[in-house]
Amino acid sequence: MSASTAPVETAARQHWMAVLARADSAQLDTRWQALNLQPEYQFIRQPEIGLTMLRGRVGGSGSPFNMGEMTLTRCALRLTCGTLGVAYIAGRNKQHALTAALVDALLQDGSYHDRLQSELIEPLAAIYKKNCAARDAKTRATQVQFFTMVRGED
Amino acid sequence: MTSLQTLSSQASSLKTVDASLLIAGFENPVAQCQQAFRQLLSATSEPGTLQTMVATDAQPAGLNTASWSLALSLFDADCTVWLSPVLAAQPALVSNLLFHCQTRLVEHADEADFALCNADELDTLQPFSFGSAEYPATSTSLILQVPALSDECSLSAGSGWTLTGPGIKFSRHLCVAGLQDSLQQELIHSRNRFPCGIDCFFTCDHTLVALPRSTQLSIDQPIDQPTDQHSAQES
Repeated sequence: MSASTAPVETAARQHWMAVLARADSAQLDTRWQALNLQPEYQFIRQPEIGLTMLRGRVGGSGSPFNMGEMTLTRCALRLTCGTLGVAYIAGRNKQHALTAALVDALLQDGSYHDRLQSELIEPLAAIYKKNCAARDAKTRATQVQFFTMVRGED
Repeated sequence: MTSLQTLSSQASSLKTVDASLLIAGFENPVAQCQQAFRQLLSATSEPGTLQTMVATDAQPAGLNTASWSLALSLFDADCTVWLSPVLAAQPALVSNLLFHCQTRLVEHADEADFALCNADELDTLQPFSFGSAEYPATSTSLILQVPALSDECSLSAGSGWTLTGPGIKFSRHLCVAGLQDSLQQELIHSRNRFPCGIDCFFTCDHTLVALPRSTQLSIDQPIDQPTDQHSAQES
């Protein structure tokens, strides 16, 4: 894949796209508004809601099975400078997908990258991490250790 | 996850999407896809009538407006598409088809549900699937881009046909420019294989004309042209 701007590291882009997708819509919107950026863009793919099949594997490594479908909103747009931004968001929030795609495009642009990274991605990632830790702690408290006694059968 | 990765690597083994070449699809995908599909239905149910297709702001290089509208409304992840060598060499076209339609591009024309081709590249229908007697609907639908289309016999370089059959009350005239003689002969002879056959869609700029396999063709007798021009077409 060739980009018109400087090549962006895939892992770094995956990270910020994941942060944007997992962020709370309201928090993302507030922080995005606070940045007061109004880039011009053209839609390549309007924000649209669809379904995607979630697949799992028995025991994490067995044969794959279809677990169920989830709603997904996706969006692709191009800034006037030519950078393409893409977003896939769980749920049906079109504004969230649009904002995430815009941020993804701007993050690939050297002149906005550092500011967005420090004012948007890092705080959102920290909030996500904190929420995960809180939920994990809550879940861990309810953990029950099951064990099965060996019954002497072979 | 592994199977998803396998799927995507299979798809990308043929062609990949170049993000810098992507253009916008339909502005209002649901309504415009339905509109294009309705126009396609009208074209097919009344063979030989010219339909002016819904337009997008831009088309990928290599496609005309009508072909791009057809592609956006018809192609999806469940169908296979064959591109003629000239069209397959257009990276913008390949990228946009993969991105907007998520379609599967195939190397062999007989595996394709749809074939996209320029008129000057095609001299035979042989590579395409005609369907089987049990499943005639599995045949390839051919989208052929031609330099000019008319429902009057006014095109000097075009082949004039009289169309008869379902959807045509008496007869209709169709003039398609740029078709090769051998292809014309095959189109006419392929009518004998009904219900198997190729449904053709001729596109030129914004215009679409359908020529389903049920439509009978006969070459118009030349009025003011010397007969020897047409004698070469008769086998």
